[in-house]
Amino acid sequence: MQPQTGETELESSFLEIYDRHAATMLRYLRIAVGEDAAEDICSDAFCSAWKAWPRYKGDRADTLPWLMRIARNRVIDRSRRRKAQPVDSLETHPDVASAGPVDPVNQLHLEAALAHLSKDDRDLLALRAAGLTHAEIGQLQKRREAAVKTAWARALGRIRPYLEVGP
Amino acid sequence: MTDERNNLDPELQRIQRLLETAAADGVDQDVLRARNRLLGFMHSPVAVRSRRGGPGLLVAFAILVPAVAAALLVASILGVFKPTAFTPAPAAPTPSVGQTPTAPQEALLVIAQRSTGNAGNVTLGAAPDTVLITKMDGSVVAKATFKPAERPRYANAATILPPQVQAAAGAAFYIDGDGVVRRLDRDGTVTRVASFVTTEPQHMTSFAVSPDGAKLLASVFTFGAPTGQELPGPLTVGPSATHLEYADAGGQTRVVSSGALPNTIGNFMVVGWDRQGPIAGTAIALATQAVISEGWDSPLYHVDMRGNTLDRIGGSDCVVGLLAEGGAMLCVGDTVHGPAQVRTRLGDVLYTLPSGSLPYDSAAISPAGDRVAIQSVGPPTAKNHIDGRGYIAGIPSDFYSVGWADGQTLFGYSGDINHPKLAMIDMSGGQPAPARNFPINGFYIGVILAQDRNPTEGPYATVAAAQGYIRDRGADGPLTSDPTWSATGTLHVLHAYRLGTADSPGDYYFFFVGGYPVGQLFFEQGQGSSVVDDTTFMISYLAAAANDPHCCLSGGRVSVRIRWDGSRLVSLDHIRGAYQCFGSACDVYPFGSSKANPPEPPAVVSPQPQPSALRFNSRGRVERSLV
Repeated sequence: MQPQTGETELESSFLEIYDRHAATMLRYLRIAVGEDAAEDICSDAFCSAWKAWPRYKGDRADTLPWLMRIARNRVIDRSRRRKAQPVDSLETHPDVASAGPVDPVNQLHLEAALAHLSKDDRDLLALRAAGLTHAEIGQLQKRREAAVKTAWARALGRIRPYLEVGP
Repeated sequence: MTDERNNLDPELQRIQRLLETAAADGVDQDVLRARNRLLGFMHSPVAVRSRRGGPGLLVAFAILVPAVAAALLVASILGVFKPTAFTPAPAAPTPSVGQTPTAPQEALLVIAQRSTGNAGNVTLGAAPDTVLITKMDGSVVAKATFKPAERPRYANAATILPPQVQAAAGAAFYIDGDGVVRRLDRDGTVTRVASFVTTEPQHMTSFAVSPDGAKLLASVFTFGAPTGQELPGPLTVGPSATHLEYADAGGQTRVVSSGALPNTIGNFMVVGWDRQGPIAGTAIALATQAVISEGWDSPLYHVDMRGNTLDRIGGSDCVVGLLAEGGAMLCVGDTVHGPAQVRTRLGDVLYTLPSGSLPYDSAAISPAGDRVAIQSVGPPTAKNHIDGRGYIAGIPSDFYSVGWADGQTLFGYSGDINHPKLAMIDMSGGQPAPARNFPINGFYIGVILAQDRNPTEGPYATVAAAQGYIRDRGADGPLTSDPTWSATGTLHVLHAYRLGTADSPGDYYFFFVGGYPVGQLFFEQGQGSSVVDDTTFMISYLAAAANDPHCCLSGGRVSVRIRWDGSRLVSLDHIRGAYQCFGSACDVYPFGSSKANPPEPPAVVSPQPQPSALRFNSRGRVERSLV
C-alpha cells in the first residue's frame, strides 16, 4: 500500500532531521550512558520524537534542542530506574584486577572515569563532547552561558584525576 | 568548539579531545543502525495504527487489551501458557537470513566468508565480513554480516590476523573491525557480548570465549604508524602496545594488563579456552615475511585472568601446532626436526607421526585427537596424509586440511591456490573418499550442535548460580536480586535487563522457590520492587494505555503482589496494561516439575485468555490487537 502524500512528506521531513541530528545525539549518549546503551536510547528517543512530530509546534529548522531534551529525559529516566533497584553486582570475577591506573587512550578506562562523576557533570561533558556550544547547552539547561562554561571546566577538572596516566 | 577549548589548561584540552574522540569514534555506523530501527518503527503496524486509528478501534482496544494482557500474564505465571525463554532480541548490524529447521542432534558448521567470495589466504588476506551457520548439506541456518577488521600495516611484513570468527558455547562468535564481539546463535539471534575497542587506528585482536559463553578474554594489539622502512630498522612510529582485556558476556570490558609491544615475533596472545580456563601462547608471531603453516607454533599455557601463565600444555617440550577439541594436541617440536606427536594435555604421548611430516604446511587434528591430516612442506606432490595410531592413508596432494567436523569428516580447501574451494573428505568408509566441494565457499571455522544443552533447572545453591541461569537465557544487563536471597528460602526474585536489543531494556523478574525457577514476568518499564514477606513479592511498573507505543507508557504506575501459595505463583492484584512475552520455548516450570515431568495445568483464576484477540510480533511480544 502506498503511503499517502502527507505521510510521505511527514516521513521525509522527519528523516531529514534524523540525518541532521542523530550523530550529535549519539555522541552525547555515548558519553552520557556509554556506548552499549547509546544506540538503543537514541532509537527510543527518535521513535518518541516521530510519534510527536505531527504535533510539533517548534521551529522545524532548529529541532536539535527538542531532540536533545527527549534524549536527556531518557537518560534521566534510565538513571532513576537504575537507582530504584538495589544493585548487587554478582558476576565480578575475583581474579580480574580493578581498573587501576587509567590509560587515557583507552575508551574503556574513559567509561570507568566517567562513572565517578555526578550525573550533572557527566551530562555536561557529554553535551560538550557531542559538539554543543556553551550557548546551546545554556539554552538546553536554562542556564547562562558563562555558568555553563564554568561548570564545564570544573567537570573536566573533576574527571582529570581518573584519566591521568599511571606510573 | 575549538575556540571554546583553547582557553583551557592543556591537560583539560587533552581530556576534552579524548571525550570528543570517544563520542565520535564509529558513530556513523551507529547512526545507520539506529536509522534502520527508526524506519522499522515508522512503518510498523503499531506506529501506523496509532497515527491512523479511529475512535472505534481505540475503544475496542482499550477494553480488550488490558483484560487480555492481564489474563495472559496470570495464566503464564501459572503455567497455562508456557512463558518464553528469556532470549535476546536481534541487536546486530544485519538481520539473519530465513532459517531452516534443524534436527536435534544435527551438527552445524560455522563458516566465515568475505564479501568477495574468495576463500584464499585466510591468515594473510582480507578479513572476513560474514559468518554463517549451515547444515552439513550447506543450507544456511543463520547468517550475519559485520564490518571486517583492517589488517594493520607493518612495513614489509604481513600481519597475521587472529581468527575473527570462532565456534564456542553452541554458537558462532565474531569480532568486527571496531572490536565488538557478537554471538550468532543457530536461531539467527545476534547478541552483542563484548567490546574490545581501541582508539588506535592500527589494531588487531585475538579473543577467546569460555565454554559456557559467559566470559571472554582478549589480546588487543595496537601498532604505530608504519614508517615504510624495511628490516632492520624502525618499522613503526607511535605507540605499539598489547593489552589483555577481560569481559563478562554482556558486561563491561576491563583491561587487566598492558605493556609495550616489543616486536612482532614471540608475543603473548590468548588463543583459546578449555574447561580448565583460558589458554595463551607465549611465542605467537604477529607478522611474517613468509608463508605460514596452520596452527600456533608456540608453547601454550593455561593462564589466569591476569594473564599469568599456569601449567604448560602438552609437556615442557611441547611446541603446540594444533589443539583438539577433546583435549589432545599436536606437538611439533621445533617444527623442523620434530618429532611430531599427538599428546594429552598433561604431556603423555598418544602416538608419533611418521618422520618427514615436519615441517608441515597444512594440518588438522580430529576432535578426539585420533587422526591428524598433515601435509609436509614441499612441491604440490609433497606427502599429504591422514595419520593415526598405526594408521596412515593418503589424500590428494592439492587438498589443504583445516579442520575436522567430527572423527569422519575432514574439511579443507582444494583447487587453485588463489581461488580455493571449501571441500570435504568423508572417512566413514574407513578410507578417505574423494574430496568433494562443499556447496558454500568460505573459511571453515568449526562445529556446533543443533541441540541445546540440557536446560539446567536447579536447584541453584547460590545467587550467582541462579544468575547464571538467567544469563544463559540472554540477560545482558546488570542483574539484581532481592536482598533476602537464600537457596533454602521460600520465594526469591532476580531482576534482569536485556540491553542488547532494539527494544527498551525492559524489566524481567525471575521467581525462584527453594532455588528452583518457578516463573517469570516482564514489564516494559519496571519502577521498583520489594519483598512483602517470605512468600510475597511486590513489583511496580508503568502501565500501557490504549495507544501507547512500547517506548512511551502513559497508563500510570501500578503495583502488583505475586505470591507463592505453596505450589504455584498467583497474583494478588489485577495486572493491567502490561505487555508479556510468549513463544514456543518453555523453560520455566512450577516448583518440582520439569520438561520430562510437566505439571498439570493449574486452575486459572482470571478470565480465560483470548489468543485470537492478540497478535504477536517477531519477538514474541504481544502487539496491540485490531479486534
